[in-house]
Order: sequence, then C-alpha cells, then structure tokens
Amino acid sequence: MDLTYVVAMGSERSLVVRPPKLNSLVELLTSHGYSVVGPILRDGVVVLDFIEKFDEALIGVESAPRPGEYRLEEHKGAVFGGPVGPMSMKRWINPPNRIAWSARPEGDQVHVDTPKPRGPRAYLGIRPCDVAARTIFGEVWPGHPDDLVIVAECTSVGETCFCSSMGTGPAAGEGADIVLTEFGEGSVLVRSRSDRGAVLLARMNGAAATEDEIESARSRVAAAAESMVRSIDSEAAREALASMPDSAVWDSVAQRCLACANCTMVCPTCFCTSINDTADLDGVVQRTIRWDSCFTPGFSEIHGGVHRDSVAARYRHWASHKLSTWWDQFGTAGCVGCGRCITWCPVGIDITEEANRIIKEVAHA
Amino acid sequence: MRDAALADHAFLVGFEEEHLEKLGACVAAQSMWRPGESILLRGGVADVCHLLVEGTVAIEIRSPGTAPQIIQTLQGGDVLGWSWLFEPHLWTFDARAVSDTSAITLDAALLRSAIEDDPVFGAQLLKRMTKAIVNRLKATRLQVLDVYNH
Amino acid sequence: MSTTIERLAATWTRVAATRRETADTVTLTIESDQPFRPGQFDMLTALGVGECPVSHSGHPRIAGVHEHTIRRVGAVTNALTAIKPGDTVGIRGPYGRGWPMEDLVGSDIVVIAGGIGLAPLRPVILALESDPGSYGRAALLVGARTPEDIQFTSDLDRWNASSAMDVFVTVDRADETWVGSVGVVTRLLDPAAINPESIALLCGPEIMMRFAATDLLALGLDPDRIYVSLERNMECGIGLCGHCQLGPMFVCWQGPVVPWSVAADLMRVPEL
Repeated sequence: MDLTYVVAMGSERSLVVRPPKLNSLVELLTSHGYSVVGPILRDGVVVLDFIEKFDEALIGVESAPRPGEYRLEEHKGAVFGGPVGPMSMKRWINPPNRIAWSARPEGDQVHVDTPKPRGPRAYLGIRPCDVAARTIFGEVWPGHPDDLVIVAECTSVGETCFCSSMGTGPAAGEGADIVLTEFGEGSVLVRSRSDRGAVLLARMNGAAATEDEIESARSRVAAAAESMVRSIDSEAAREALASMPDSAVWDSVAQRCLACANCTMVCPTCFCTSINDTADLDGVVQRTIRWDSCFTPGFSEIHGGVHRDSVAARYRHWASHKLSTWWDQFGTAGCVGCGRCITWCPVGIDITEEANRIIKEVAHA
Repeated sequence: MRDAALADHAFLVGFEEEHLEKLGACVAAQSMWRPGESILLRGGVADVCHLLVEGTVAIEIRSPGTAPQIIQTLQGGDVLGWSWLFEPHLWTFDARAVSDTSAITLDAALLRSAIEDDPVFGAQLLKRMTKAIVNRLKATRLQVLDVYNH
Repeated sequence: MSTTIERLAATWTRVAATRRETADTVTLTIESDQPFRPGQFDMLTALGVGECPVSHSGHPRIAGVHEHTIRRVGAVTNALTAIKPGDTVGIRGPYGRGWPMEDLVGSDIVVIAGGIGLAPLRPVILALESDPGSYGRAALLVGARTPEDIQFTSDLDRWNASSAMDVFVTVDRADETWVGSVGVVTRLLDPAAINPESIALLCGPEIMMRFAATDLLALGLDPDRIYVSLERNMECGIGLCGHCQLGPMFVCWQGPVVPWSVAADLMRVPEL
C-alpha cells in the first residue's frame, strides 16, 4: 500500500515530538472533552485502557507475539508497545458485558431505564489493523460519531502479523484523524489526517517535520511491510473457503482446537453477542448484551439440539465467516490480519496456514 | 381379458397392454369393505393382493393392553399387501377399512406363477412393487424420526 | 437515529386474550398497531425470564391486534404460554422476510405445514380466505404428531368447508379412533393433485421441508417458487448477535422465508 502524505499544507501539520510531549496530546484531547483510551503496560502485557498521561513504561519495549505465545521484549525506539496486544477497540466500542436496559413492573406498566449514552472518546496509539477493524466492526456496532482515532503506524511487526496481505497495514489507511509514526530514538512523527485532527494538531507544540524525517518514517513502515512472514491471498481465500465445506482441513484443525473461544474474544471484528435477561430479588430486570462466540456449543442451539455441534463445523464457520462469507454480508473481509487469533490460541492454530491449505486444495482439485 | 379398472389404476400407469391382460387374468374379485371392517389379519395366509380404488385403509398393529396403533393409512391408488410375494406368505400387520373402501383383488398364487412364467411381466410388476415399498419405507423412516416432537 | 443498543428495547403491551390450541401450545392476542407481513416474526419478552422469536399467526389485515402462537419448549416459552389476559409482554418487531404475498396473486398455491409450522402460515391462509378471488386453487397439507397435536382445528374445519381451498391432514401416529390419514405429510401430495405451476409455501421441521421440497420438485415445481421458512437461533432479530448465521445468510433478516433455490445448498452442508 502506498500512502502519500500531504504535509504542512493548509491546516494540515506534521510535527516531530518525543514521548514526554505525547502527554500534551493526551491533555489536549482531555481538554477537548474526549476521554482518552490508549496503550499501557499491565502485568507484562500491552493493553488498552483509559489514560490520563502517556505510559512511559512502554518506551523501549514491545509485544512479541508468536503462535500460542506472547512475550514482552526490549526494542530500542519503541513508543507504542509494538505489534498489537490482546485488546482492540472492540471492548471499548461494545464492552464485553453491557446493560441494554433495566426494567421493573409498576402496576400493569413497566418502568424502563436505559443507560446514559457515553461521551466521545479519543483512541490513541491504535495500530492500523485495528483502525481498519473499527470500520468493519462499526457495520454492526458503530461507535460514537464524535470518537477520534489516532493511529500509530507499525515500524516493527510480530511473527503472527499478516496485515499487509489483508490490505490494512502496516501503514495507516482510512479511518484515522491523526497519524503517528515512530521513526527511531523515541521520536514520533505526528500528522493530521482529517479536519478534526488538523484542528487539534494546530494547538500542539512540536518541531515541524523535515522531509528527511518524513522519508525516514515512511521507509521504516515500508521495511516493516517487507519483514512480514505470514500472508493470506484474500481473494483466493474468499473463493476457496466458500467451496470447500467438506475439506479434511476442518477435521484436522478440530483435532487440535479446544473450542476455547479465545480467537473470537481477541478478534477485533468478531461481533457476536448473546442477549440475556436476569431478574434480581427486588424484581428489577436487566437485559445484558454479552460477548459470545461461535465456538460455544450453545451458540447455535435451537430447541431440540445444537445445530453446529462438531468442533470442525464451528471452526469452519468461524474461519469461513472471517475470510469468505463476511464479503457476502458486508462487502469486505472480516479479517484484518492482526494475528491475535494465532497468538492467543492456546495451541497456536494459524488461520493463515489453514486458509492456505484450503486454497492449495482447491488449486489442486 | 382386459380390465378397464386395472388399466386406470395409479399403480399400473404405463403398464403395457399385454401385461395388463396377464394381470387381468389374476383378478380374483372386486372387493368392498364398510368402515371398521377387517381386510387383513396378522398371521393370516397372504393369498391376495389388493389394488385400492377408493377409500382409506389403516395398517395397524396390536399389542396386549393398548389400543391398536395405526402405523400408516393407505388410499385409492395404493397397493395393499406384499407378504404374498415371499415365503411363508403370511400377513405381518392388520389392515382395516377406515371409510367405505373398494379394491381390485388379485389372486396371489396366480400372480406368483405369472411372474415366474414371464420374467418381463414379472420385472414390470416387481419394479412397481419395489417403488411402492421404497416410498412406504421412506415415509416410515420419517415417521420414526418423530420430527414434530422436538 | 437510534443507537444499536436502543434497537433492543421492547414495547410493553397488554395481552388482550389467550387461547389454548393444544396441550403445549397457546395463542396470545396482543394489542399492537404495528403492521406486519405474513411470515414475519416478533421478539416477545416475558419480563424477568427472557426473550424469544415468535412468528405472527394472526390476520395480517386486522388492525390493533397481533396473534402469536407459542409452543412450550423452554423457560421463555413456558412463561409466555402461562400469560393471562391483562398481563403485559414486551414486543419488538416485526422482523425478517415473509412469504411472497404479491407472487401468490393469481397463482395456485400449495401450503405444507408440519407441527407448529402451521402458525407462521396461518396469516397467509387467513389472507387467502378473505380474498379468495385473487388466488387460484389452494391446497393446505397439514402434518402433526398425533391427532391431539393438530393446531387451529376450528380454522381447519372452516377452511375445509370453504370452496377456496382443499385441506388434507395427516398424523404420524394414532390409535384406532382416528379416522383420518396416518403417515408423513408428503403422502398427501398424491391425493392433493398438485398443479406444477403452483407456488409452494413450506414450514415445519427442516427434515420435513427437505423431503417435501424434493417431492415438489419431482412433481415439476420450480425451485424459485417453493418457499421454506428456516429456523435458526435468533436472539436479536436484527443481525447483531450473529447466532442465526447459516453460511452467508443472517436468517433473522435475510430469512426466515427463502426460496428453495437458495435454501437447498445451505441445507445440503451438515452443520453449516
């Protein structure tokens, strides 16, 4: 993907800042009424949470995801924690357990309370794959219309990353207001990508970026793309997975898959939920929306039985949804290549490997 | 002897003229039953085959202490009885007329020897019997599934 | 514009009447002005117990009330079938694609219903009954488990007496007191003498619909003119929860009614 930045034209600005200065960005966002969600280091893992200042513990370390494994490693020049950790914006847009309404009977009427709508948020230091995922997830669960996204382009990639082949990274694509790029020695290039982003950036102090600095940032992102080892031919996968419901690949995955649902929980686009009503002893009823997974047996239950009973069928449903039927439903793939499902799978099942096996099967059929 | 009722029977659609004549020679009777009348009894000698013309017939099974259970009902156009085809030529279920019922009744002994004498006639007749049996089996399998009980 | 979560809010409304259809099935008459198409469903909530999808079973052109026929199969349907007149239920809908009512005009129609599957088809038959001149010959083929499980018996008697349609009923099991047909519903196709130009509407257990569709194709019906109503786990009704997916389809809003030309491939793959 080749992105051309328009630098220092009109209201758009590009600045170079170093991490302490990032606090002024956080403060700026806060003063504009945004609650800021950004990366922090917690329990040895890069996660997202509400922040009041930039977490300096992230400087010089980054996530090192591998199939079935996540470690934190030292990495000189890293600012935003490297490749993605387990959390994406999904849990902030549609939290794992959320009240739709609460109600109590009042005579023959029912009194209903709905939760207060939340205010706008700024998501800071989000990786490009996750920004793409926000757009995809937004087809089902749109966030707040005033939410702001500050993307951090990737200058290093994890072993499980395959965003390049899915067309979502490591350079920033659509859907961000401000683009950050780490370009060495802890320096960050800051560029606006939308009018709202430009308005904010106009209030931020920093040195104007030089052509060399911008080029250095660009080449680091390009080098990251080159270093990516995993890939899926998205077009071929779409066709192949739709045509191979009887493939032996599904059974072979099922021999390893624990149906633990981790892949669906960490996936930034998996949107499935279950809707549950509970009543307390005072007669107050709550309808909650809770993340659910197509790997649980109850997911496809109708009276009389479970429709998708075998683990092979559940994995087939999930992988086919991500790479094939999502296109039919929403006009895009449901996968952004973040690699989380590979990293956080307890047995390291690799969607790229399984999809490529199916593609090969079709090619040889 | 050509039997017009035979030629019109749904079971024999497409049956050749010459075979219709052979079958006509096996006709033993035009049978009629009133509602509730027994047609076949389990254990009885299977010496006939009925081509139902009109009415409804219940195939039933009895067990001590319960009311007879209807396994399936047959109607005009259906063939009733195939135990006559194989040894020991004894009925395995009961059959009872539910409504006013009429049938062309064929003599089983004559049918068996006609099948042996003319393999082409035999094949034509047995093909139709097999189709009827397969359809009946398919329907029975679905009933056994008890699909409405979920 | 309502947010995603607000679309899950129910309207609380009064149950005007209840009617027991069989030992485990009850029809609720609910006060509502919301128009619907035959074949569509509402999400009904029993306060404090939960929510489930229930097809419309009432007349599509009688304003002010909805009818919903519910079979007791779990906690929510237990609560809904225990509701008394004057009680309150939560309702949201209507959802889904219904039967192709416009295409039925001027056409012969064969309706095949199994068990509770007669309920989502009842609005079609009521519409036909109100306006017999607009349609060709209609045949209604009904299968039930036992004679006691036959739904809407007074409707069936009335429809049978009308010149607008032929009604055929069969049960899977019966004792000697039953004077009707015993056997699967597809066995009724012969006596019903179906016109191959007919439009067929099927609702019932999936196995039953599969066999019925196969037999209808053998009779020469066009796969685009055979419609089935699919059942999958529908928790939200609006394409959010993901549970009802069947291959690329969200049954809740792209179904539940689909032509056989679409359903056949989706039903072919086990556990799709």
